[in-house]
Amino acid sequence: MTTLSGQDVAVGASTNEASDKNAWPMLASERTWGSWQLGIALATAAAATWCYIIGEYAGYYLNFWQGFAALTAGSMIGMFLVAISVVPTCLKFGVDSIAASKPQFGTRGWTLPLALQFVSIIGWNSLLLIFFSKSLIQLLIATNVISTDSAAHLGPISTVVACGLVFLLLLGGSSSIDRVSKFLVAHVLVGFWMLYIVVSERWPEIVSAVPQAASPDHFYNFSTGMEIGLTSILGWWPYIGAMVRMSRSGRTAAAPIMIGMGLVVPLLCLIGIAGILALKVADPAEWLRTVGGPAYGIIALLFVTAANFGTAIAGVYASAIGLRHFPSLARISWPSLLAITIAPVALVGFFIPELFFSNFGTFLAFVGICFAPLCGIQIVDYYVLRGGNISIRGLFDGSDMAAYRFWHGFNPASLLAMAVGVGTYVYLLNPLTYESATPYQYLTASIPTVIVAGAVHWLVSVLVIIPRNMGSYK
Amino acid sequence: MSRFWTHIGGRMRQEIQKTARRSVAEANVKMEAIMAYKTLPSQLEERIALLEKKENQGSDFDGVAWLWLVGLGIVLPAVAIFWGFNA
Repeated sequence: MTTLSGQDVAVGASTNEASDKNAWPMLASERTWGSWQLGIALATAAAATWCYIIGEYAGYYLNFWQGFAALTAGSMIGMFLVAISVVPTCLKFGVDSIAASKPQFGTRGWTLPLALQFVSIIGWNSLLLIFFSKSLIQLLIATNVISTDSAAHLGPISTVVACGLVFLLLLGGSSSIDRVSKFLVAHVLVGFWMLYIVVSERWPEIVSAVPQAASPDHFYNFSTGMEIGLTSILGWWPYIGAMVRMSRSGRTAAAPIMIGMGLVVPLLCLIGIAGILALKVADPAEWLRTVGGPAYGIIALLFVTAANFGTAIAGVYASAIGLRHFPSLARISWPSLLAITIAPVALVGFFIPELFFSNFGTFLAFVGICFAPLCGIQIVDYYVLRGGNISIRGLFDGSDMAAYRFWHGFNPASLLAMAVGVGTYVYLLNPLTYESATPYQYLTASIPTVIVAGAVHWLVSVLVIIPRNMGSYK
Repeated sequence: MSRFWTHIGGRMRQEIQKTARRSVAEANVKMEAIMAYKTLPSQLEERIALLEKKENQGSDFDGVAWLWLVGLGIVLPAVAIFWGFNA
């Protein structure tokens, strides 16, 4: 066995591929992001078009203050669950979300979280880059660079160009995210400015507006507002590992995670709530033109364009790191891996943007419900069953004697818990029709799902897995 | 005659089972090669050896971190629910 220092390994890795461009664990000495850098990167990733879409949905059920309170409660609980489930392992060993799921899912079972990550991020990125292209075209029309007639042909092309830009920017790895975030984070401030404009101009209409789809059951409305916040933030599970692994301690990461990725979302969602309540339109690019004239409309379009681009960069990076866990993809060059990760987004944006738009809700609803059980399983496994002890070797060892081999590489406990968790969610809330069953109106759907999935994982592990000495539980 | 056909049927069943087992085993080996390292690459092995020492690891959430997490992840939502529900 050779004995090398941390510095030597870092240098060794850089001759092949920098450590932040593969899924291998990072030494504490290689992780350079402090609280501010992490907070800025997370805020840039979190603030995107979805903020006003989330706000719009909450505004259908709740008034301005109730919507804000419900989204804040849901988002912060969701962020707490994501943070305590996946972040400790990522921080300790400098690994991404997928590596952190191996102690629960096994040496082969990790492909389930990877599939969820890939589908979720590709889906979101397709949406964001199609939105990016639409805003860019509107911006070019508003500034008289192109005519309305030529806009129709430019949509698919500009999505592909956006994919190309993401590819070029990510050639530098995580340092590119850091650099781009420092510049794009300004859009968060623009978002708050837009909020100030709509609140100061239309306050009487905002506070007197009646939500369009509010149920007579106040519990249902509030629970739905919370659930929208919860589901949206639980969707950060795939992103967060690749970002926090650049940081070296829990103390450095906790506040940026909760504020940068958690609190920014409900604050920016106020734009959507205010827009839908006062002007019946959530898109700030539309209502800012109404409120403040074409100049404000252009600023809003710049905000939307920048916001979606920042999130797409973080998403493609996280997805590429996740794919590195396949040994065959671990060996290919970073540009090739980026191309593989971005290609599906470019294809969707070029060939089927409208088809994707019309079916996106259905697709995402079923992907979204999988992250609640995933968090429940990881929390119980890390804190209750393992007492915080994870084997770094076990995260990468795929041999027959591996620590997390379980049963042919799969952990029946986590798979069963996932199935029961998804079933619990669908029973409590049909994500397509929004029909609910008691106790959804008191507990939401995600929180009971987290608890049920965690309980099933614990029970099956204690009764079946641990007595058979599977999974290196002590 | 019927014993002959029973014998042939038995042999065929055995052959089919053997072929199926072999195919599953081969698929298993292929899956292993795709999904996981059988032997770790040397650079990864060195990296893991270093990370097994505590000084090269990052640190878990400490007391201050838990204060942030609980304050913003439990207390703030509780306040928001109480306030929002009565707003």
